[in-house]
Parts: sequence; C-alpha cells; structure tokens
Amino acid sequence: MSFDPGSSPAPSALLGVEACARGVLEAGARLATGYPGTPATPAIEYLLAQATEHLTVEWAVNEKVALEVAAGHSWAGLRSFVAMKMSGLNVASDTLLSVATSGTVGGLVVYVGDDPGAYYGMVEQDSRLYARLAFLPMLEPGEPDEARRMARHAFDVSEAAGTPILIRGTTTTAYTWGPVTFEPPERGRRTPRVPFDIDRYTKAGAARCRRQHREALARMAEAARLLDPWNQEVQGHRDVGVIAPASVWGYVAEAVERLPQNERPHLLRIAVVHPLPEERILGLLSRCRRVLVVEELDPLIEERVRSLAAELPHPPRILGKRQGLTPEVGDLDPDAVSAALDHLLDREPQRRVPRRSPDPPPDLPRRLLTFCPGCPHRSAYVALERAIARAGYRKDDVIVTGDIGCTILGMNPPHNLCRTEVAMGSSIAVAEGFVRAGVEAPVVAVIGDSTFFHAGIPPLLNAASKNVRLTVLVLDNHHAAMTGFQPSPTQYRPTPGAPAQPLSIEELARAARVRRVRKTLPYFTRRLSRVLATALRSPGVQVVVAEAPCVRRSTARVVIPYQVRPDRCVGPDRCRPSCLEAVNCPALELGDGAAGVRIDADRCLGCGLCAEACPYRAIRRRIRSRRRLP
Amino acid sequence: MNLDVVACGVGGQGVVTLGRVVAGAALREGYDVRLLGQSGLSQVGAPVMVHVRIGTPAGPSPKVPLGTADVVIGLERMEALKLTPYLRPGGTALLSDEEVRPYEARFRPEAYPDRETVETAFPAQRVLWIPALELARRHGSPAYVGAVMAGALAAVSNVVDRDQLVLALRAERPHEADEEVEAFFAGYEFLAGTGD
Repeated sequence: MSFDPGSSPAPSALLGVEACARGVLEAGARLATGYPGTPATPAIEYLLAQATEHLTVEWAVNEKVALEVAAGHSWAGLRSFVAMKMSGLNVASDTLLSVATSGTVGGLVVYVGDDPGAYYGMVEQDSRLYARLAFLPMLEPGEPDEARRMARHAFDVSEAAGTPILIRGTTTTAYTWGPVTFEPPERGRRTPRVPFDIDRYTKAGAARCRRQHREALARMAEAARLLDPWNQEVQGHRDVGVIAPASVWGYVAEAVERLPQNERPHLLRIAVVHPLPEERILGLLSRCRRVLVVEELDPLIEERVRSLAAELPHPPRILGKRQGLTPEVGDLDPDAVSAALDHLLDREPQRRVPRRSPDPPPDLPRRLLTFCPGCPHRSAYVALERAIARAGYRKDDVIVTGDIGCTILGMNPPHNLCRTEVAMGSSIAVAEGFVRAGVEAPVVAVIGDSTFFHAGIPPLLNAASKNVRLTVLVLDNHHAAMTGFQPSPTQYRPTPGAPAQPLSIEELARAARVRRVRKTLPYFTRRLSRVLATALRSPGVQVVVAEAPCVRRSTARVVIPYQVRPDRCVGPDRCRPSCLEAVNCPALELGDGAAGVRIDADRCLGCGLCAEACPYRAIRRRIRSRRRLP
Repeated sequence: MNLDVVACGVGGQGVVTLGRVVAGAALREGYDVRLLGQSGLSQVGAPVMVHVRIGTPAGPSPKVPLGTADVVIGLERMEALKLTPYLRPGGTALLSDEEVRPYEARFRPEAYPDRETVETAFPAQRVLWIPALELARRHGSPAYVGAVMAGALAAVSNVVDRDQLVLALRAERPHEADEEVEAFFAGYEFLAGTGD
C-alpha cells in the first residue's frame, strides 16, 4: 500500500489481527467471542478493550461453544464474530460444517489463525482446507489496513450471500503491526428476530440435507462473486507470471521491486483463497509461458492452477512446490521467494547473501522453555516427582501424560515427566489408553484448569464411569496463562465487574463419581506429595487439584526473596542434585567464578522451592531485601 | 530514507516493547512502518525476535531480507548470534552483554558463547557493546534494558529522531516513571559520538 505521511495527522497502527477486529467493530457487530490461542488471541483482546454497550465481547469455554453462540446470534439477525487458532477450528469443525449448510442471517465472520512455522507449537496445519470442506468463502488479508477493510466488507457479503465467511490470518500477517485508518462504526441491527424454518436450521432428513448442501454451494459462489474485487492483477512485461495469496505477497513484492520494469512478470495477488478466482487464473495462464505459484504450507493454489492449466490449448509450465522451489513445511521469507523468482526468470541467483538459516549454530545450548520464577506449576511437578518416590516407584515407571498450555512444560528439564501432548483435554483419555494397554505402574494425567474446562470433562467422565485406575492432577492457576492470562471458568463473571461465579473442579469431579478428590496448595510441596502418593497407590480415578493463582497475575504486593549463603553453598559441582538441577528456576544462576549458586533478587518471587531442595540449608529468606511489586 | 532493524532477546527483556518504541517513533515522524514481532507465548525466557522496517514506503516484506538490516540489536549474548545473517556488510550491531544462560548451559558452560565468539560472527560489521543491564539497573530497574538500547539506536542512526523515540517510549510505557527515559538517555550518551 502507499502511505502519504501528510494525510494522517494522528497516525495509528495495529497488529494485523487487531486490525481485523477493528473492522469487526466498524461493521457494527454485536457479539465477539472465541477461545484464546496464539496467533488469534489479540482479536478478542483488542475488542475486550473496546467493548461498548452495543458490543458483547467474551471468552467462551471452548471454540465449538463460541461458534455455536455466534451462530445463534447470527440466526437472530445480529452480526457476530468468532476468533480462534487453527487447533480451535478443528474443535469447532463439526459445528462449522453444520452452520455453513444452514447459512447466516446476521453477518457471521470466523477468524482463524494459522501458524506456518509452528512458532507456538501444535500441529502445523493449513486451515484453507476447512473452507473447502465446509463450502465456505475464505479471505486472506496481507496488510493490517487491508484486514480492517476486509473484515468490515465480509459482514456485508455474509449477509448479502447468506453464508458465514472465514478470514485466515497467519502468524506473520497477524503479528505485523502497521498503519491503519479508522472509520466510524456502523450502527448495525440491534433487535433479534428468530424465524421458524426447520428446513434450514435442522438436519433430520436426506432431502433436506441435500438441499442445504446445494444451497451452501450456491451461497459460496455468490459470495465469491461479491468478494472478487479483493483479488488484484498487475500486468507485467514478460511471458511469465506469479500467483500468490495475500499472506505471502510482501515477499513477492519485495523480490519483484528489485527487477527492472521490463523484466517484471504478470502478477495475481489472491485475497479470496477459497473459492479461487478461476477466471483470473486462466487469464494469467493464457498470457504466460511459465508461471510460479508461491504459497505457504499445502500446495492448494498450485494444484488448482495445474488443473486449470491443463484445460488450455498451450498450457504454461507451472513452477512451485512440485519442483521443490518452496517448502511444504515452515513459513516463507523474502529470501526463499526471491530464489524461487530467480528460478522463474531462469537466471543466476541475484542476491549475494549467504543462504544461511537464521537459526544459530546447532552446537549452542538449547533454550528450553521452563516455568516462570515462583510458578505454582514448578512446585506441583517437584511434588509429583517426590510422590512417585514416596509411593515406591521409579520415575521412569510412572507414566505422565501432559496437556496443552503452561502445564506441558513438565516435559522439559528438570522434571522430564510429561511424555505426551495431544490436543486440549487429551491427557486424561490418553492416560486411560495406557491403563487399558496393561501398564501396571500408576498413570498420571496433568492438565491445567482452562484446558480441563475446555475439553477435559468428557474424558474424566469416561474414565470415572469405567473405574479406571488413574490419577488426574489439575494445576488450577485460574488462567489460560500461556496465551496471556485470560480468565478461566474458575473466575467467570456474568458481567464485567460483577462478582465471580467460580466453577469448582472438585464439585465437577465429585458429580462424576470420582473415587477421591483432594485439593491443596502446590506451594505446600510436602503435603501435595503425600496426597499424590496416596492417589498413586489407590484404585479408581483420583483427582488432585493443586490450586494457586498464576504468579504473573498474583495479587501479592510484597516479595521476600531468598538468598544464598555463600559460606554454606558448596556449589552445583559438588551437590547432587543441586538446586539448579532439581528446581531449574530462572532466578537461580551460577555465581561468578562458578563457585556457588546465586539468586537474582530482581526475579525471585519467594516461593522457597530452592530452599527446600538445598541439602545444606544454604538458602534463606531475607526480610531485609523485601521488595514491593508494581 | 529507509531503516531496517532486527532485534532479539529472550522473553521478559522487553524486545517487543523495544520494537514498538522504534516503530512508534517512526510512525510519529510520518514514515510508513512494519513491525513483525514473533512472540506471543507469555513464557519468560523464550527467544523473541522482532523485525522493524521504516521508510517511504517501508519495504513490503514484513521480514527483513537476509544481509540487508542496517542495524541489529541483541539484548542477550547468545541470542545475538541469530542476528548475524540479517546484518548487512558495514551495518551496526548494538549488543547488550547480558547473559541469560539456558538450563543446558549449566552442564556445558563452554558451549555458551563468549564475547569474542559473538564478535567474530560479525566480521564485516561494526559491533558496539552496551552495558545495558548495568545502565538500566542504575536508573531504577532491569526492565529498562529495552529503553537503554533504544537510546543506543538513537546515537548510531538519525533516521528516527531521538525526541520522537522518547515520545514513543512514554506512549508505550505510560506507567513507567521518568527513570526509564533517563535510562534511554544513558544508552544514548554511552554511544554518543559514534553515530553516522
């Protein structure tokens, strides 16, 4: 986009994903919901900060529920928005297909955040496939301001064509911060009207479902026609062309800008990634001898381009992933795209940069994620390790399954406990699978509170109803912490500012007829390890809740940090296991000259786990060095 | 005038804030700006990298192409090695000598790079070390490391105006006191006179 510095007296800028949410606000949406998941989280966070009396913004218990709330809201005639990461769309996919075949009344826009490069962990998937699976149009913004305008327009098209519309962000487009123009919000429809139309809103009956399927396809085609102006063509000067979606267009533009005018290829920038603009693609193909397709992850555009090319009397040669010019794994960058363009133009590599991976040399020590200083989860894992010994087992015998969120960091040193991470809530059922396979040692599932409410309840019911011998350790810190401390159902409030109506994990477990339910503070490691040891030795499902708020959201105002007495500390080389190995707190560091251990008083939050682990009682609290927290 | 900057460090050091300050200052000056921050895990200690592109217009790619960054800023010694492919020949590396040693380095202390290793990774470029943590602590808080490095950037590049950086710093960190701005000037003065 061009940018005129004079035209914007009060410049404003947003992340791509926030700009999309800004478009939602400007479109007069009345509801925005979702479940936190990087890289989609800032969509809802932005709207939470902007909420007005006309716009309800909330976190739902999971993505499927969020989409269902938004669907009902749309069917009542009001504009609705849902945001989730790609894994969340998997959770909501059953609902997505059903809602797609019923269509919309009020505009319904679903934002999905894909993560090419898997920067935030989880399966690297291409959610454009959902657009095809669910007969839905899908838009892909490139620039932040484009995301805003696109989201706004998507609501109009969703209503005009009667279909939900997917907007796909990628980690790069979502987290690119750039200039955005603000426009005043539309008013939007405000009174609900719910028609009785079972042919549209129910599925029982083959004829009804076939008709809904046909109508969904027709709605998608109509929406694609209305959205087509988002696709852009630039005429070039040679018989070569480049086709790429908006999400990677910056890389293409970077490489093309360096070419002299008369060398530039024909360009097709695709913003409607489903259904693809076939007429435009055919037009470009008919003018070219060679065409390069650039896209991240699956070769979806490339495959369609190949099959369209085959319809032409003189098909051009299609270059892309099939020749290995760009990878199917990981995200792209300007250098990879520049190299692919050199190939298209049949010339020597133009950029004399060492094609070095931006990763550091492989022999550097890895930076494995660990818990924050003072995190209650660290205490809980230390207690679990002690409980295993106390119950008479070796650490390797006991199988621990992990779950999504901060709690999975029990897989890393020094704990090395969690062996599996599957999907939200899966720790419990995977653990049941190990028990069913005949594992005789205890099996433990470790899950966080937000993850438990999201998808951990059905597997708990399953295990409890079958009386499987299984320990479920719920690390309840009242937040979805890893995504930015969103509140979990343990602190839900009906309206902002109202008193919390906390849901109780213990009461849910008791209602599921769990054999024994215990709750304790994770910082009381001795007590927690006793409780866990009893659970490990007992039959049936055992639920242990270790509850303490996320230390990054603690209400504590004063910290009394610990300090090492150099006269007592013998140093990690002569201490096995040393506090460094046993606790691995980021506030612990090797002192100068590697003599002993030091505690960073700026980072220590005074949990005392290291003091407990020290066999020489060399770590003490120092009242004198207490400090106030902001 | 264009300026491409890549900065990195570990979560909790303020790398994203540093990127926001630089990009925000450029935006105030009327430049077109792209800032890409690859972070999002709230985890303390995870590697973080940001790309800032400033210009009229800014480069279209949100990521700075390899070998083209004018300035790279490293807030942690080992992470700084990730910056070497980005910096152009003749460019400037502003490096804080802070160490955040990963767990594995406790068992292989020799694998953690020393200053010399980092310097040899920038053979055709200028490397300037800044005692950012010390300056930040002296002005009130280790959280001001990003401000110190923003001040250092102002000393070596005149594309973004120093006073706009201060305004952007105040806008980005409204709850912080004047001490953080003093930390910014400490970084500026440490390098004053080395600029272009």
